[in-house]
Amino acid sequence: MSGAALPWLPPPRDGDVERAVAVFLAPWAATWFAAPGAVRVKPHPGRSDRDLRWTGAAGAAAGMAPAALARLGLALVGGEAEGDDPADRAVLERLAGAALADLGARLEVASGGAASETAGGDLLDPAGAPPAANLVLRACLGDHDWAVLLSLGASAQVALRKAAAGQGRRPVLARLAEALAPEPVRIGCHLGSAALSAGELAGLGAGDLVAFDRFLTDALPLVVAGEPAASGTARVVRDGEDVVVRIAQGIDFP
Amino acid sequence: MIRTADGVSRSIIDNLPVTIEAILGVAEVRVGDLNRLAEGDTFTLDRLLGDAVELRLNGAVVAYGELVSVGDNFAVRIQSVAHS
Repeated sequence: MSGAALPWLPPPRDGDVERAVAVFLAPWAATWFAAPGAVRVKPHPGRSDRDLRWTGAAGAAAGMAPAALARLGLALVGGEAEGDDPADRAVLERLAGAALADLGARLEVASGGAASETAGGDLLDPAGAPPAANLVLRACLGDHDWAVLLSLGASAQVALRKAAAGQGRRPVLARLAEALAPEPVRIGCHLGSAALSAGELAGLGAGDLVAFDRFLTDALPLVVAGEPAASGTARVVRDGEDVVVRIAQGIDFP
Repeated sequence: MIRTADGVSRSIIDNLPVTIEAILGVAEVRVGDLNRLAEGDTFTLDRLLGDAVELRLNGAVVAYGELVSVGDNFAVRIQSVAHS
């Protein structure tokens, strides 16, 4: 047996996370841009820059340089120049903030809640930048002159990779009792036991009588699917010409 | 002494004490209805269809018959027995 320890998780293959992020970004880009162009994702050497404006949470966040917000806003409206008017710039930054907030919300869903700490699209304070240990990727669209950084913890990376592989949606589990409820099952009563020899048993024939040790007035243990139930009894009584089994004690389930 | 095909003495087997159990089949219900069974609920046995009582040896049904009484005890009138 090899002494090498098995890794807890297989490491992603080269480009796996980048491809998963590109798949994740495509619908966001299609929502906000008329002609977004190809999504390009690559590792970001600067790691999680603290001077960016982040949206999301520690485990999955999207960040952008404040100076790039106006360029993103300009790309969103299809403009050609930022202009120097502070009012115009504020409008562009507000629009870009909304797109970035939407990206954060989508990250929250795609990463299984890792980005749920700051709902509503609030931009994180730079002091709340994601952990340096996160994987940071730089994404841009077509020939746009802005880029967004995505800071992803291990859980978010796994969630995005699974989503890209088509395994992101997990079935909702039903309660086992609910699933079993429609199943038919035979119930019966244990009428008692009789001791005899194997020879006597083998010699039994049609018409022979075998008496059992329980009395007609006894409450008989219930049998469910051929096995004695832990609780529950019934009595066999006559009702005119009919023979009726009347429950004396219901079955208690833990 | 009679010997069976596999060489076991027949008399040894014949003298073997066994205990058979009688199970009266009552009804088929849904699993979800089991915990709704309450005191006073009734099931009428259809004697015309011959609600058979199963006689079991170590869990295996070895005979079945009709529910009757002998004195104050439950009893079964045998209708069919498994072949030896």
